[in-house]
Amino acid sequence: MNWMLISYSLYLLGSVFLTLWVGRHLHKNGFAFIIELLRDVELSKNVNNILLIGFYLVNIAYSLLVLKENFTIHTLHETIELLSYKLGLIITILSLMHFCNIGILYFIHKKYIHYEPHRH
Amino acid sequence: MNLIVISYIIYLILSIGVAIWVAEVLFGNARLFFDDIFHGDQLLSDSTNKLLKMGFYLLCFGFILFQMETYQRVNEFRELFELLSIKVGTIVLTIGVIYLANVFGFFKIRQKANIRGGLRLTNDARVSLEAVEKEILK
Repeated sequence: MNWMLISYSLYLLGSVFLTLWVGRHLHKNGFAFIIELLRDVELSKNVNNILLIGFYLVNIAYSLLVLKENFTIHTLHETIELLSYKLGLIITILSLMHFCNIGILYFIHKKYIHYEPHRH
Repeated sequence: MNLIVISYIIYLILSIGVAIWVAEVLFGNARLFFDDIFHGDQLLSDSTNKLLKMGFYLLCFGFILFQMETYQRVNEFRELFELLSIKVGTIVLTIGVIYLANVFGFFKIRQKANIRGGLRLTNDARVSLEAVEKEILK
């Protein structure tokens, strides 16, 4: 049983799925913030899509780059440990990106804040 | 070796369960906070709620997975219990700290929003507040 292959495949599946899931979630829910900032629905839709593609690219590239491990594993419990370490790293990076995105939108918004009520 | 796998599985089930439960409680009740902060803007408040909830989940799951690996040998059930108690205890403590940080953050944000925009009550709250005032002034 080639545990290394199994764990690589599971890691890839897991990290791609996570990237897609978090990306779609941000795409749907971050839309309101971009509208707050840019005040133009069409422009916001396009900016949202651009940010989504950028997010996918950065995250999938990172998870592919850190795939390789120099040791080899022989048992099930080592597989679980390796997967937990790698997927944990990916999830932590994703959460950092997530909060960075929110933070950037928030600070830009603070700079250009309008005090009038929300309207379209 | 088999006992370690069992303890990993139990650890994952318990930790993920605690994380999901805390997230549901926290962000189910935070909706009211965000409605007040954004002065009734339903779309913005819903979006903030979902985004922060997702961030909470990501943070918790990342930490749970990082904490999972152990170099201890587990040979019998007693050692399994002891290992589980340490691991799950660390997770519950950490999730508690993140939870409290979130709650304090929400309070702070609401304070800031009120200083900037003035306190706006929702319709029900305003109605019940007026009823109470009438009672007092009677």
